Amino acid sequence: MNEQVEQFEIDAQLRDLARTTPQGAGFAVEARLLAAYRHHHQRRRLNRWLYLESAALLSIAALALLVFWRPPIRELRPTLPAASEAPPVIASAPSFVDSAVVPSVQRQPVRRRKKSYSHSSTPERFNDFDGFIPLPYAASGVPMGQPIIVRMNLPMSEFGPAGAAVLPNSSSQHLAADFLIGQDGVARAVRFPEQ
Amino acid sequence: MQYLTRLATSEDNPSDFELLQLSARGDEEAFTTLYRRHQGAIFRFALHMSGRSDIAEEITQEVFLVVIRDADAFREERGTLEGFLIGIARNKIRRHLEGLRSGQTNLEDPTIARELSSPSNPYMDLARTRETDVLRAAILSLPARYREVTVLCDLEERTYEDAAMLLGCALGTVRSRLHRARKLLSARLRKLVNREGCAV
Repeated sequence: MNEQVEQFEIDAQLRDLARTTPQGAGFAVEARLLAAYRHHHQRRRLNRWLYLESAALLSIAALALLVFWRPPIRELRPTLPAASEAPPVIASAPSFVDSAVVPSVQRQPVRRRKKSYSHSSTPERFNDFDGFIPLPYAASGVPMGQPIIVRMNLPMSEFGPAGAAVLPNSSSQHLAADFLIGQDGVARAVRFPEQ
Repeated sequence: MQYLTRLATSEDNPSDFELLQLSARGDEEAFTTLYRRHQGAIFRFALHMSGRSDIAEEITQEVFLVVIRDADAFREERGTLEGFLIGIARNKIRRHLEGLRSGQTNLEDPTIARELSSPSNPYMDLARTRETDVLRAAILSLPARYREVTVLCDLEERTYEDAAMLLGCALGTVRSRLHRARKLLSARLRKLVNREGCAV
């Protein structure tokens, strides 16, 4: 019974306490929170603006690159190697080829420079490719690389497709010719030795 | 302005979630409405739990700062916004009480109520009677889990279901905790009254 009375009194006091409790935080809290809210969203807006600006600048840069940039055009014309290019190597000729020769090879005078550490892997260099006539079908676009010269003994009739005028009665005769063959295995030019 | 337009065009009483979304997008009026709708409950809960209005204000402010900075943390499918806010407040109060404990503040001491009755403390200014002081000291001396249910069910007059939802526990747990809390409260009141020599 006493417990019930006690509990009743406690309940009444709890209600009093609830009634007398302040109902909310002061206005200062609201003011501080609103200031924090404004500051937070101003910063967010600024960040968003900076982000958009960066994105726009990047887009403009990408567009300019697309419009003004041109890829390097590769030279498709077949060109005989210049003297400064890599020298042709002497190859062993296949069985049907008479021999692999290096025509008109001249040894370049060796100029020794002080403190020069560059060296060539091949001691012999061709100074020119005089007398070679480019073949009409040799425009493959593949760089010549390190060409080789092979000497072949072919019937005269074989030179007709290459553009040579062949007399009818001489088509069975054989003729020695030097072929300049690129790294891709395609004959690029032909030369007829003097003999 | 955005909020006013929304009010005029769609709903007169937007939900908490709608207000939160508008607030996250930068609608200050939506945030103000949200704050005014929930600050009272958060403040009173923090006040009853801590016993000090300055701490309660600080906790209220911290809770709404979370709303400002991390509104996305609230998931509508997990519960109500009020439950979410009370949850944040509970964590902050718990941390605060741990700090008090390490700072050797004795909440069981009934003199704390009188100390808190300083003119600068509006909470205690309103509690004029000695019995209320003793009762408040007794509530503050309860363990946090019992104090929470006492505050929500007895002082805030919420239903057990509401309290269970806000505290994130089962209905039976709320009932048993409240029963135990009342027993403890009665015993502590008796002890305090005997010590103070005043009748409750």
